[in-house]
Amino acid sequence: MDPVLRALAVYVVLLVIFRLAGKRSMARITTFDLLLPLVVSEATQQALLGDDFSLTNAALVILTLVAVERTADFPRWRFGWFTRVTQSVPVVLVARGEVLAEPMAKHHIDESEILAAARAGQGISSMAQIDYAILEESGTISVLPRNRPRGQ
Amino acid sequence: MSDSSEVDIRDDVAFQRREWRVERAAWVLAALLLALALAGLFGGGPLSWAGAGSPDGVVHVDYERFVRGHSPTTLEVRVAPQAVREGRIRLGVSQEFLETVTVESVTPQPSRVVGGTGTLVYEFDTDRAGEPLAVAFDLRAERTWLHRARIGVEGSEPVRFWQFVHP
Repeated sequence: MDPVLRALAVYVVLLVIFRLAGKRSMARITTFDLLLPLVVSEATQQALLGDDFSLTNAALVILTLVAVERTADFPRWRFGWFTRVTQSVPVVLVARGEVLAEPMAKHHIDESEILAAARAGQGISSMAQIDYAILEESGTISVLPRNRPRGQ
Repeated sequence: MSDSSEVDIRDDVAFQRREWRVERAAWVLAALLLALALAGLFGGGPLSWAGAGSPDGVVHVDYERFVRGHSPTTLEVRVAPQAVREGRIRLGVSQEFLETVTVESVTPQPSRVVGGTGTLVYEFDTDRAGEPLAVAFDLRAERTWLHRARIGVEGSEPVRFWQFVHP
């Protein structure tokens, strides 16, 4: 019984913390962002396993986490509000080449980060070439180039 | 299926449909396993909590039917006052069972532990006559699979029970 409940509790705690921390908390921008998941997994290990090192315990914890994740996919698919509450929504940062100050400030994103995403994803070198930039739910920035082919 | 002839996708709709069916079956199985886990099949739940008493009611043991290997479990033994002989209670535990576990602590501490043939005898001093003695054995299961245990006092039929240790 307790491995299942422990895994559920850890899942809920992590979900709430990272949901409230904002989209950028897992976006891996700085070096420390890369370390954060490692440190978090170290810290949760004890809570997940307790002092029980049995195979059964590990299997139950993994099964619970996977089952919760897949079960949550159903309401996310079925109900829009559930997706918004648990996963948030995409945010437009640049619209038709115009940088939107408010969403940029709210998410602490400056133009250099948009340019970095543009270079990495589209091979774009200046703001003038960007049509749209969108902060996705996952925290990554998608860039759509200007003069992209319209229609099929 | 292959309207997408200009794109070379090696898809296989029939195989994918079979895979979906297998996935559905696996989800049902997973849900069943989790329900059983919550009920205590893998330790720590109503299915696992168990008690057994000797036929004459002198010794009663509360134990866990299902335990996970290398994880702690407690055996709670209650001995009725009529088992006291010369201010002592001599509680015998089958050696066969003790070999499968590590005894981390016994509360209260026995005054003496004596080996015997197939039975280890824990001696407890009692100065309050007429009160039952409660002993807690804090154990850690070491060996996987089914184990049988025998716990009793002299002159009375021992309590017999089994415990299953998951890997």
